[in-house]
Amino acid sequence: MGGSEALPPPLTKEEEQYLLERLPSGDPSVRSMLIERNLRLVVYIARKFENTGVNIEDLVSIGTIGLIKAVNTFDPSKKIKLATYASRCIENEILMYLRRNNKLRAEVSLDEPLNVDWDGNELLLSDVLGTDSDTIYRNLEDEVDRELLYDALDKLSERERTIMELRFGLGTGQEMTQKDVADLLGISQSYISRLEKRILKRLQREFNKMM
Amino acid sequence: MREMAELEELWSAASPSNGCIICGRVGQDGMRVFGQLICHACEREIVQTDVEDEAYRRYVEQMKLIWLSVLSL
Repeated sequence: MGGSEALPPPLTKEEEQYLLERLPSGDPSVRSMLIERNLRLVVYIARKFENTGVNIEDLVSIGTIGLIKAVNTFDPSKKIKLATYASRCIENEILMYLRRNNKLRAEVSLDEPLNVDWDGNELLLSDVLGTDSDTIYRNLEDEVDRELLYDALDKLSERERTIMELRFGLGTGQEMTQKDVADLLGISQSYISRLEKRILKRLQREFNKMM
Repeated sequence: MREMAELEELWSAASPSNGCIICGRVGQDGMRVFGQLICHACEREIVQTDVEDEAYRRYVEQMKLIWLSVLSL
């Protein structure tokens, strides 16, 4: 599937205008015609997602659902072309499906066997996940990291330290965007971005010296 | 022989019937896309459906009948 040779040609401007004028009447044959004559769009967009691991038959079907939604929700009074609106709906439908698929693939079970030894004992994911004693170590490590970070921050100028504190919410726990920090300090966002990169590099050097 | 049977099955699925391709109910009003009927109620359901819905996979499968119709034209 995926060949668009068998599909009818796209609507001419006049044909589309004629049908769109009749779309609000709710006549199902108008919607059918708009769907059939825009199916090429579905094939065209579906092909762009062929490298995602989802087969083309599914992509085209999902795109068709997007097209049905588009024709049903299109508002001819808005100054936007049906093809533009439908393309957005078809693409969005496929993207939503892919996102959901990726989410499902990322989920793993705690009872997932990671390995089986010679005696047939399974090593489960839950066996190697953090335990209570682990969390104590983790807190300790966090504390050491924090101390190292503050030592490194002391090596920065006051202005650099302020930027880092605001950006990463050091002390307050409230991170700010580059734009917010730029507005607050009255400097441009691109300047903050450059400074940030430079400061992070410096911090990294300070860290390396300490470790 | 098995291939032939599969082809016949495919062909009969692709041949438009009076039943809605989604719910299978016969005699419903709706729209026909390449001869395949989608009844009003199912069309509304499709418009409101989300990829997370349980019925979504079925809609995707049933849409393939429209494409079988296109290819058999």
